[in-house]
Amino acid sequence: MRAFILILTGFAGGVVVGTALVAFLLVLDVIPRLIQVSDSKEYIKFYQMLVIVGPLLATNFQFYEWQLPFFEIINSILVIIMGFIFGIFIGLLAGALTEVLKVLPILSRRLGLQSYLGELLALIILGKAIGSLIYWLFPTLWPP
Amino acid sequence: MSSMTGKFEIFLRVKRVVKAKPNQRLLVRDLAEVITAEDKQEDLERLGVKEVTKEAGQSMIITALEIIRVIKGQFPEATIEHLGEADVIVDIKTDAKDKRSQDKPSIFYIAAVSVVLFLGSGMAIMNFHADVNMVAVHQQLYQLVMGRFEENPLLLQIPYSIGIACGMIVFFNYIYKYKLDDDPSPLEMEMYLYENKVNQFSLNQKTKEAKKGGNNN
Repeated sequence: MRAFILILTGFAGGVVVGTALVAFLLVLDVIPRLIQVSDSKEYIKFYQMLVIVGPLLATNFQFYEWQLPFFEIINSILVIIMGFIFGIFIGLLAGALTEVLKVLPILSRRLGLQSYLGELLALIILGKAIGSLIYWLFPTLWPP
Repeated sequence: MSSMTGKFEIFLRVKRVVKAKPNQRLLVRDLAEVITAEDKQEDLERLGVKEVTKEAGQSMIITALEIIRVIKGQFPEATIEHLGEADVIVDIKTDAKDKRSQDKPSIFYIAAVSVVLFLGSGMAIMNFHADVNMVAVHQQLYQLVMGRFEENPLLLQIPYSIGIACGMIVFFNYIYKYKLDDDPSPLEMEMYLYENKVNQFSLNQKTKEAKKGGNNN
């Protein structure tokens, strides 16, 4: 009986978190933006499947502590590539967040800097990258 | 004068927003695009509609009907075809204000805004990392690939930081002033939507005010 309740709770939690994740991606327009950039509307079904399989794999990896086979240099390169890809994804999210998208038009208008929109955006992007670097390069910032 | 009596058509396309200075006499030409018989085109365009008064403040509204009334007064024979907007917003700029907006913003001003945006966005991403416990995730991922625990998996985190910048560039379709492709960037669209909203709101507000003023008179 207890096991049954546990299964039910786990399943319900999964359903809610899963829908929340998809809603999150949709609200932020990340997928449409990527499709627009790559001009690949016809692969939409494939992308849908990826968005389902990706989190599924990630969840399993996180819960069961999976391990990839180890070949010294290849894994190091893989780590670098993975880090870069995660960064791109977070960059897409950070760009889509309302803090940038909704604030910049208002801010530039209020400040009378409409013609400097490109520069302001470049500054924000630079600030994000350097802020992130500082965060990781000085581990004392985040107590273990 | 016999040529004035014949029937002819006037096509009138009223503009949406018009810029003006105080005491300027607004002509039909300023408020709308018009097409009519060739011999009357010049007279029609030079027809004065309304003067910008001091009392109008920063903006006033001229309805298409006012313009039509003036044209009808001058050319009673004309059939007027009205296209475009129902009202014109007249954006009144005094000289002093005009100068300020034309001047380049001072370097200190831009520097101050730049510092705020730069440091602020940096802090925001740090906040985000702390909020979602990004460290633990990176450590786990590092362990997945490399097979050992690493307190500071910089090999993952430095490319990650560069990736953030690349992701934002892809999203905004922007590198400084160079665009990646011809798609409109989300920021441009947002900017357009916002300005449209502002214009629509002020149009609404001014229509209301103009109607109020009309009732009082």
